[in-house]
Amino acid sequence: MNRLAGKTALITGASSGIGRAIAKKFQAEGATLLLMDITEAVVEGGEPTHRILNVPFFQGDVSKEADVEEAVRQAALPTGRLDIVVNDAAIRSAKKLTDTSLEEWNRVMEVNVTGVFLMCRAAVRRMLTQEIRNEARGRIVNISSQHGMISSPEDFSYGVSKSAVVYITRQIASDYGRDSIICNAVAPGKILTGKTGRAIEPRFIDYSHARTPLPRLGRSEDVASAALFLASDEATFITGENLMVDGGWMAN
Amino acid sequence: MRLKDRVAIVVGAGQSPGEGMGNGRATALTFAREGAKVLCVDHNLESAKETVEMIGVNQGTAVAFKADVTRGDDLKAMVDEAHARWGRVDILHNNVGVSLSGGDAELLDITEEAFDRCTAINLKSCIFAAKHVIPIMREQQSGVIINISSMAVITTYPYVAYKATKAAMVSFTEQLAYQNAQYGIRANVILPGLMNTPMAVDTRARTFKKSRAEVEAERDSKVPLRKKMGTGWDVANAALFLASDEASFITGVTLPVDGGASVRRG
Ligand SMILES: NC(=O)c1ccc[n+]([C@@H]2O[C@H](COP(=O)([O-])OP(=O)(O)OC[C@H]3O[C@@H](n4cnc5c(N)ncnc54)[C@H](O)[C@@H]3O)[C@@H](O)[C@H]2O)c1
Ligand SMILES: NC(=O)c1ccc[n+]([C@@H]2O[C@H](COP(=O)([O-])OP(=O)(O)OC[C@H]3O[C@@H](n4cnc5c(N)ncnc54)[C@H](O)[C@@H]3O)[C@@H](O)[C@H]2O)c1
Repeated sequence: MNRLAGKTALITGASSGIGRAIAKKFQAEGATLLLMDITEAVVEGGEPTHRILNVPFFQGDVSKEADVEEAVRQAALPTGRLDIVVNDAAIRSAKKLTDTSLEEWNRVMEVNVTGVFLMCRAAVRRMLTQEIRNEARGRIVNISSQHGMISSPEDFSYGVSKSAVVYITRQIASDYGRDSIICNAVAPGKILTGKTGRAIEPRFIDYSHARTPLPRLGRSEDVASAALFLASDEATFITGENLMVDGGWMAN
Repeated sequence: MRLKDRVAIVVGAGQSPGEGMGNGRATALTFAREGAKVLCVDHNLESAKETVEMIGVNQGTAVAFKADVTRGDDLKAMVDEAHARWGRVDILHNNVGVSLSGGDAELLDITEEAFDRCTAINLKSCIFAAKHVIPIMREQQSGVIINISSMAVITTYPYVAYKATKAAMVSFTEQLAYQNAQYGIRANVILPGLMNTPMAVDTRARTFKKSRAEVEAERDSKVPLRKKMGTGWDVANAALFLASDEASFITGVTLPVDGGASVRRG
């Protein structure tokens, strides 16, 4: 398949989980990739993503301006263009409001909000210098969450940060639509990435099943397919949207 | 091929008179290109046949079927036809919708007849089409329903019946999604924005006695993305994604295909 043939993509948080699935799918569809992550270690286990796919890896922190600038520069080296950025990197704090320290709050905001800001800024600056190709100068896909629209169970700062991602998406779409920059988000519901620990504690799984109308919970590939759709030329008149991939949770 | 051997019913698969490609026709062509067998339904059988011919040229499989969506019996016959012919129904795509051409108007001008007509064409149609197809999909434990509403739901729009019926389609689709998720059935709704289709552009040119170019320019200027309307293909691509297995965890969503119009209201 070649729905991203000729396109160059930078994916953050690409070592694990959903980001890893996006990297695999984008490569299968013909994209030239640069993967960025703070570590090559795979949260759910396995060979590093960049090794499996045999693509370049940039080890860096999305909350650091210099790292983000350098990642964007490197991503565009092979083809002279950056067509797609996927902002997937994020952290959770797993604390209620009253248990959240200022340091914890700041770190979640740094990675989940400042990281997305820095990457979008660097990417849009770069994209504005590029020619329009297939009706777009460049595309951004942010991974938001249903959390931030509905409350995130016992994870205050994470929910707040994710609602900011939805807003960032709308504002960029609106401000740069005229320049043919397309910016959308994908909002996953409960996705089983293979991660263990809190993510699959029975009480959270039961809660998710009870609220997900479809009989199964999500897979990383479900989110990757939605990211692919929004990154491809098929989604050329869609911008500013936050596409839910949640098994019907939000319609319920 | 992303819809290989799927059976699809596209309701409103013909096209209003005018230049270019409508949403329904583009969707029927796209589904067929991706391997689906398509029942092209329209009350204008000639127009549905044109769509079928275009599909045939590309070696796709399609059959035209005449139905008036305001008649429950026709909708039942349409579903029965697809089922009898191909043994299943995987996709129901409800594209029929009218505003000005159904006599829609602002509140002080709207007549009861026009309101009832628009409601029957826009809303009753998708509800009763779903009523007839859902038993088959439940039996199959799979199926996808896509309803075509409009960006008019979330932005300003002057005429009463269109706004109200298209908004009701969103609520109905959500209900369809959560009531049928346990059977593996998905239902989603697309909100097309300002599209360069015969239905939107040529109808307005005729109604307001303007040239096509004038209507195009006015509509283009209102779109944030590139200052240019979308096309029937944009809606068709979104429908293809939602109809395919790639969207198998997506149900109950409202997907605008509107060039960013809904993030910048007014
Ligand atoms: N899994 C779910 O159920 C779910 C639900 C809703 C939203 N999401 C969102 O999807 C995205 C991915 O989630 P996941 O479950 O795959 O997470 P994950 O924890 O498995 O993977 C996140 C990746 O981001 C990387 N990362 C973290 N901090 C970074 C930093 N400062 N710089 C660069 N990379 C960094 C991690 O190393 C990791 O590889 C996140 O944005 C998350 O908020 C996930
Ligand atoms: N074009 C736009 O800008 C725009 C914007 C928002 C929403 N939409 C929606 O898109 C849909 C239609 O788009 P299109 O471009 O395919 O329009 P279209 O008018 O070209 O096609 C609709 C088809 O429905 C058929 N039809 C009308 N009444 C019928 C009836 N009673 N029974 C059976 N068939 C009937 C018509 O004959 C026509 O072939 C509508 O639901 C419309 O509200 C369009």
